[in-house]
Amino acid sequence: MTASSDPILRALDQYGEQLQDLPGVQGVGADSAGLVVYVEDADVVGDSIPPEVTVRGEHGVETVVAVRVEVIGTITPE
Amino acid sequence: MAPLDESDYLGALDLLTLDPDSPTVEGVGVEGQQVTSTARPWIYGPTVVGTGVTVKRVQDTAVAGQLALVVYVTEKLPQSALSADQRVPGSVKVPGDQAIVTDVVAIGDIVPEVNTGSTRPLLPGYSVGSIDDGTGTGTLGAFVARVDEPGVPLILSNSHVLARSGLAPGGTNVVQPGKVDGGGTGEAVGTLVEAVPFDFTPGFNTLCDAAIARLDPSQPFDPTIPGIGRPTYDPTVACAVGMQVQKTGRTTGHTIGVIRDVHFRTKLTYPKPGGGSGSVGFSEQVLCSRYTAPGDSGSLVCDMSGRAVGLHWSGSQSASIFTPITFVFDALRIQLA
Repeated sequence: MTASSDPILRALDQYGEQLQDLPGVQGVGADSAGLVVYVEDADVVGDSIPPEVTVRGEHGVETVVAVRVEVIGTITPE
Repeated sequence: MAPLDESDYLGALDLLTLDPDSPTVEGVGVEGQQVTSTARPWIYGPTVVGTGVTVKRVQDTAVAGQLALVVYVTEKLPQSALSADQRVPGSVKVPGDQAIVTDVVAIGDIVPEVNTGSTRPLLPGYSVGSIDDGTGTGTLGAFVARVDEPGVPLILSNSHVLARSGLAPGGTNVVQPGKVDGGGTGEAVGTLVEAVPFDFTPGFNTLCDAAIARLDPSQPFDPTIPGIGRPTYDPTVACAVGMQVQKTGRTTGHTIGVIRDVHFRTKLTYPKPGGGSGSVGFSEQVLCSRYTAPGDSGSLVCDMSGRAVGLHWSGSQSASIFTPITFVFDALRIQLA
């Protein structure tokens, strides 16, 4: 799904896979406060996840989007 | 002395069941230690399955105004079958010289309420799986039908439940209960029709883990989901953070969760059709509080009005994840039966 004019969803599109592919990351998502990176264990990801990312809008306007980390354990099909 | 109330009984229950795995009890004083130690042989006696506080009953009749600390047992044994310290006293003195009245109630064995058994008519929320996969047991989510074939009922669940994650060929038997729950060829209820293929290319290009099986025409079925009712579908119902959802599943029965993220993306490893395995990226999934367990995969997720909103398929130690039902319906060209 392509993100709309919402900078948070644009950030999810732009940075989602990059964040997902970091060691220990189980998933990525978004809420009204910014991006959420869901991790297996906080100790595994360490400082590898940036606290914020920057996205550029249609007219070149840059928006800083906060990144939050949540520990959820390991995802498996159930 | 004032008559004892419920809080006195609950305090006594707390004291008597304190640190059951610890050889000594700390922090309750000498008198408290004595009471707790003396109670352990009977409060954890041979047939005891639980304890509680409720109204005292004599010959199944409530004694007005009299509470009791109740010891629940699988069956009442004759006194002669118990050692002296295993016999539940009629009352027990706790610190403060309070006499706590007791009661013994037989309730049989306590077992997890799971939907692992055989059900005829077939019901959503119960165990189902592929005959081709010993570990692929999950939940029969709902009865559906192709949009262009509304009179032919189908079973909806996950690909990893009905189709060995896309590896099982069409026509493979689907059994109820699933193999893990004892289902075999004699329990075949339908055959695999289609599983939504997984996309193993980089990115988040997969929307669902879903499959359908054609129901054997001889199999009676009831689309009513235990605990929820007959589901409906309204494409205008949107999932939102904070919204409650419910499902009935093979392992945990009817439970309620709360949506935490409606833009969730993740990658999981699935077997590839040509051999080996690969990463599959899912997008636009819905992450919820934890309200499921392994074996619940395939459960239909509904809002609290019974409207279908998703298909449960994965989870972690603290989260449960479903696919918006619209993706599933569109991918398989189906609707609720």
